[in-house]
Amino acid sequence: MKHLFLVRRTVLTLATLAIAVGLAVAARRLAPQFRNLAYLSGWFLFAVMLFLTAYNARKKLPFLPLGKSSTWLQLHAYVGWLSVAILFVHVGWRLPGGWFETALEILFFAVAASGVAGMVWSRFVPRRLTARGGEVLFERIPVIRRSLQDRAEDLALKSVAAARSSAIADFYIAHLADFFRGPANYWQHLGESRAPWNRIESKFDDLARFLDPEQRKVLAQVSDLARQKDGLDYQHALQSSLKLWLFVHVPLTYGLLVFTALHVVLVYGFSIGAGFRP
Amino acid sequence: MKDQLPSPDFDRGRYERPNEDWLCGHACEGRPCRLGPDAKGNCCSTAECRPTLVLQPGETKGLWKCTRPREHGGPCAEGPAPDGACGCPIIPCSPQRSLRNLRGRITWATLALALAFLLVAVAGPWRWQFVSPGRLSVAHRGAGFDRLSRERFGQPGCAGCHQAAEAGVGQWLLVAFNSDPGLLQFSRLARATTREETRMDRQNCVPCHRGYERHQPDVVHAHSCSSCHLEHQGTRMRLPTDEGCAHCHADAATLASFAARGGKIPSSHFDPPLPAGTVSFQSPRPPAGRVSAFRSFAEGHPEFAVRASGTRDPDTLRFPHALHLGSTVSLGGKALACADCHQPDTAGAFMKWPSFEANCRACHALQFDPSNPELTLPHGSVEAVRGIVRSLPLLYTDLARRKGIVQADAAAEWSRQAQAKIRRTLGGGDQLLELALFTPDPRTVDPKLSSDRRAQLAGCAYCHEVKRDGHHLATVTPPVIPDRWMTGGRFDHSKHVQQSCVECHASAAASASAADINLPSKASCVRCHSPAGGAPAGCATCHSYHLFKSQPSMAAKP
Repeated sequence: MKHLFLVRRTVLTLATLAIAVGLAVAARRLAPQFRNLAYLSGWFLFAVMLFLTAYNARKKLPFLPLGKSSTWLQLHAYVGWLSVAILFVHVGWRLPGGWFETALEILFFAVAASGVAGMVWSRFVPRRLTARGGEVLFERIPVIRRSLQDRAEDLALKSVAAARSSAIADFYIAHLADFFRGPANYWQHLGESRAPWNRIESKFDDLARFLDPEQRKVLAQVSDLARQKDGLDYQHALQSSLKLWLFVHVPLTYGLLVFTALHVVLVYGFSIGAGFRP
Repeated sequence: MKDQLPSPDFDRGRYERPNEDWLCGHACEGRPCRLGPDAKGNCCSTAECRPTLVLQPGETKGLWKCTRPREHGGPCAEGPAPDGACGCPIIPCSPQRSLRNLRGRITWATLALALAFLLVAVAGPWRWQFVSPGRLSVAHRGAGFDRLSRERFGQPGCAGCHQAAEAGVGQWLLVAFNSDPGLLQFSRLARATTREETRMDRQNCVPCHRGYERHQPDVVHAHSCSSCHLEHQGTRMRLPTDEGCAHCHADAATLASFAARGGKIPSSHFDPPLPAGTVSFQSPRPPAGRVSAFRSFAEGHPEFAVRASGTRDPDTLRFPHALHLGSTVSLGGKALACADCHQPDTAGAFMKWPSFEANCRACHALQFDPSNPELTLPHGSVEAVRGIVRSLPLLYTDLARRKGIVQADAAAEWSRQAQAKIRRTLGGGDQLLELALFTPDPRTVDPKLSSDRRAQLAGCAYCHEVKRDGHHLATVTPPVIPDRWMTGGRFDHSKHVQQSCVECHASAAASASAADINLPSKASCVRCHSPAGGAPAGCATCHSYHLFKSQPSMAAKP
């Protein structure tokens, strides 16, 4: 299976490269002959951009028989790379000159860069999530967090009556109440840092030394819930990052389309073939 | 994988709705209500369940039962109120937008922001700076261009070239649709080649740039201006690319069509126009024209026509470079160097003409009397030479006075003796004139004469072609040294000063005749002007596409 995946990736990468090189060579060869090569490459690029944008529409129309989303995603990635090559051919491998063209090109590369970053992140994060365990649907995280919070609170409250000591309850209020209340340590989890959990764990250890065996059992259960909550925070941090990069990529894509529309109007309106003078 | 966490327990029967626009406000607390908000984001929940009345047989009042589903905790402990109201009322929430909805809103906001930004940019005072795709070349901006544009098109600035600039922003779309080719006319886009005039060529370029002939008269298709001159790419227009030239010059079929057309055109039509008064050497044009296909200067460019085999300098001046650069000729004890005669002109691009006074007289003084070397024949006029020879008595009498012999008799005697000596060595009046005008080499004069009587005078014919025109009348063919030898290309000596003369003009040192053309061969240029040599080797380094039949001018509207 992995072998097939590697073969497919190699073939698609090579095909993309071959098409990109072919386009560049053809453009160089044909440039002296065809006056409107930049127009043609521009329209081709625009069509490619529309195809790339259509992936977003495809996700909104799951009921239509438009192929598997995974296939679309693969095409989106490879055609996205191709679009960068087409852009270079289109602009003639030169830096943009004017304000608008500069903005347009920056926008294009912002979309491309956010796409590449998202793709890399999408490949990287699932492995981390699997390695850490505790996988859960993103939308269920609040409910599960609440459940863990309730169970931890319940254990803390019951320990007061059972042990006639408020040590665990006090500990919960002082160190765990905020922790269980909502997502915590977002950036540390993104950075794969275990320091926050180590701090909490050391506090559990500190308290455990002063408890009797029964209370220690209860504390161990609370610690286990806290560990699950930490894992849930990890899931939340990484899964939300997987969703949030699209908050950059998708809006910028549509912004790019608006800029592109003006670019088309300007190119034709101010082109060498624009309007006769009276 | 020691630390791997197990997946938390969850009721898989519950269904999440991430695609919905609104989520229950209690969801972030982990306690979403069952119903959730409506499509408009209003909270719809009032209680956790709607109790049902259970009537046992025979009962009239019945019992209200909690209907809260199991996944939400099952029937509550409190149970419904006696009036059937749910015992667990839900505190109304403020529904939250789902991530998907939020992303959609941000996308719409970005769209609106982009549109607003573009509207402000194209409607604001910086409109032209904003839409301009790059800096214009110096020729197409500034007060001069604005004046010309105003005169010709009624508006300064961008309107000089772009009609759309005359219209408002709202008209741009209309102009875009009316362009040629228009929006979505892909087949026309694909068919249009660089060998066609565009509207802009006709409407904007040609009316101003008068006198610009497109190319050689045998060219079948003139290229559009924009195929080479790309504007908005910086203050200096980019030079045409070699690929543009190779488009025709590397295509044998295209060149064949040129040859067919060129065969019907007199060769004089191909002479490149030069500034008035410029003397040029016109290399003979091959019968088929210069139509050999090649890709670059280093690869396939034909040998310079002026160096083609059999081409000779028709100038009649007798000047062997080999003799003058050899060891037998010296000036002030030093062998002659090229720079003793060839000096650059004021601009430094070309060489000045060598002149008799500046370059020849030092050795060729035209003295005829070894005893009186201060006497010389004049240069430049046959009549003046005749005058001198015919008036030798007067010349010698005047010389005697200049030598301090002031008494008339003594001066006359000294003059008579000097003339007698001249007559013995060079001959009398007619003989001397013959010698001065027509004898090509004084060493060939009457070999029977003794050496002391053998003439030492190198007269006109020593260097010039002198034609006899009646008795003792002569016509000297004036020497013609071209200002330009290779008129098809540019050259600048000042850019080549790091080279020695003979590195390029290698044949000069061995040239025995002035008819030899000692210009550089293509091979000597390719040594540097090639990818290997490192110097610029593009077509535009030497050539210009345009053939100016008249002085190019910037024309205002007539």
